[in-house]
Amino acid sequence: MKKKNFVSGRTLSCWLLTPLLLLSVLVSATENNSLSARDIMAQVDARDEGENSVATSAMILIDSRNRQRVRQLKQYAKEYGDKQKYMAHFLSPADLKDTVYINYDWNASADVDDESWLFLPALNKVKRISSEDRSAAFLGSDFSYADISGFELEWYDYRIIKESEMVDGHDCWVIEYEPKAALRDKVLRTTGDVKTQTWVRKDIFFQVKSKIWKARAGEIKYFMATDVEQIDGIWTAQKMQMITTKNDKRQHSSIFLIQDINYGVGVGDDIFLPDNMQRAAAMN
Amino acid sequence: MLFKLTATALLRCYATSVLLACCMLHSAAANSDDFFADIDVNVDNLDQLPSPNKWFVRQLLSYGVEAPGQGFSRSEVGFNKIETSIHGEVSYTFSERISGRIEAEAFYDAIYRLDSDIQPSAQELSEFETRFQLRDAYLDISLTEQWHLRLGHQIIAWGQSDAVVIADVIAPHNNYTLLQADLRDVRLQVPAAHFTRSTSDFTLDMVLTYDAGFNQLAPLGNEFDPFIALRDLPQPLAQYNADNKIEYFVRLKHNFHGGDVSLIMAEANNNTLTLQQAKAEQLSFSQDRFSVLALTSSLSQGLWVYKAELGVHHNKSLMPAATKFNHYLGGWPQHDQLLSMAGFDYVGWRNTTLSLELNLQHTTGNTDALSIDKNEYGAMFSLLWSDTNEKLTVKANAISMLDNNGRIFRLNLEYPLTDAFKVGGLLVHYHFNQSDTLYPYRNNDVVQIYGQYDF
Repeated sequence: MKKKNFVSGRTLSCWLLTPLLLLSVLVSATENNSLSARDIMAQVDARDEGENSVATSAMILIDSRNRQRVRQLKQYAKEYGDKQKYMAHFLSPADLKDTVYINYDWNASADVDDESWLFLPALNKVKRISSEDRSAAFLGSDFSYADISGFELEWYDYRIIKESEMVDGHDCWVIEYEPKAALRDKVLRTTGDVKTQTWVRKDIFFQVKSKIWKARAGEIKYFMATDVEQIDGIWTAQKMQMITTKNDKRQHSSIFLIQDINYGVGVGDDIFLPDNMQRAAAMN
Repeated sequence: MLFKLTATALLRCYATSVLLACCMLHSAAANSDDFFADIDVNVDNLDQLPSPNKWFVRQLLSYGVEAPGQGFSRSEVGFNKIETSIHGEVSYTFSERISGRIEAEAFYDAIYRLDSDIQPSAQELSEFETRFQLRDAYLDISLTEQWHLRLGHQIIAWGQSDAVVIADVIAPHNNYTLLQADLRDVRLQVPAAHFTRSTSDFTLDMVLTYDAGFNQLAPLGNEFDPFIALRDLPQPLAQYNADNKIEYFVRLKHNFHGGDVSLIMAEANNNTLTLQQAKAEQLSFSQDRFSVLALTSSLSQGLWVYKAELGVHHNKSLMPAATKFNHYLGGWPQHDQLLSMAGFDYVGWRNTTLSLELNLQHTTGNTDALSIDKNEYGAMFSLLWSDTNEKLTVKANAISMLDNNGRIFRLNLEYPLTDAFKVGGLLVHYHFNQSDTLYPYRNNDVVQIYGQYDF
């Protein structure tokens, strides 16, 4: 009886739920299909990344001879409405230990330059550094500051070049974007990126692959995000890799591994103050 | 028939698909898709957090490419340093509000035992053969949410200039050599109570030091013996700490979008020794007292960071000209000095940071009797290059010094063979004319190589 009921109940549920599920998938698919490339990238840009986070990470640098070097760091990030503040404290290698980097990433609407500081323990000095050179290597890796801080939505023209392509079992849009003609010089100067193709997961608006054409002749970078999981309700790629190629030959690559991340843990404001960098290095 | 057609179509379609797929696979394998392949990470102990403590040993070989000349311990071209050092730093967090740190280095220079061409003075042997250097020994205490105290031996660096001391008057400097020391060894610790109050817009620093000492000077006969020109005098030279051992420093810093400006005030002892008294039995050098008022600023715009510093040193003792030395045996004359720096860092060229700073020093009053001109000009150009994911780092400096002190060129290369072991090389060239104060040190060019192992 129980079994029957169970089966009956399950069957009933199936009968009731399947059309609803199909309907919602259809609606969602129709909604997604009606999205323009720009709409999709706007959703990617607006994706929830948490109010604040604390992460322990490792950056693995792989040179052209496949030798791997590791930099371990502790990272803090906090959203402030008009800007995001970010702090990275190097834990290893010994040569870089206690180096601290702070960045204020202002929203495009603020129309002001981002700000960055570096604390070098060898000098015991906090130095303001230019953050406009987003094409520069982030922590010496293949990731540039532009790759880390994300794209500026208003800087580019977007187009869908493929409506559907499967990546690791997930349906993706393939979107290409290039700097707007009026902003081309500025974008090239600050990011060094000529054109980008990106694969965006349709279910969560998450960039899982990108191919980035650089201004340097023959240089293309390949980005991939894997181990994408929901942590504290936030979709997070726990492994990101970037390969730099020149004339279709791999030059070097970098892997960013998130070993531990916590969202919404309450990060104080003090930690992002440049004048506290030396103390932050000593306290961590 | 229909079945046959369909089967043929399917077969063709299948064959075409297989061919197409093969082509695509081949094309993908040969081109971009390879670069989306997952890379294996082959690193041990990645899950373990590194120790908060740090140790390294360093071996340095230094070769003097010229003979320094008369009066110096080394008379021939050859090695002038075979130095082994061990560095340790230990941090400990006592509670959420209190943490501590100790950092120190010990050095052993084997050159005095291995090279008979060097005839070291007793002072040189005792100071350089074995040496201990405390870098930090302090407690960090959070008094409230915004007030913090760092108490103990600490290195404090203020100001923007890398070439001239304008606002950076707290930490004495290691002047054992001229620009040969590793950057981390340039500034020395001072015993201090350092209070800080930070908000997002303002930071207030108040520092009180006690018996902070003066710049480290090379001992008798060493290649950078600062008194080499006075060694022929019959009187011995003596160095004394300042009579008033307490120094006060205040900095108020305002951060605004893209920049900052700081006001610095100090009542301090000059870290450069000056003659206090010349008697028949002894020449006494000590620190004079002076006050400092300075403004520093940095501003980031695009690929540029602009830096400026302006300061007044009030009542500073200055060295008289060699011909007037005997007129000031009771103490060197005091003048006010206006010092300034304007410069920039530029990062828009091939993974390179290019820096330039220009310096101007103006001395008030009658400067005819002084070893310096009324207006002195200096400049420093720096280049730092490190390519993406490349190991080699290149640092180069060219300095035209204030105070008729000539020019110095420095080139430093570093290459980490592994995460724990790096090697490096340093070349320093001194260009001093006969009229330059540093002329006696013109033959001190060195080539150094070093290896450092971290554990």
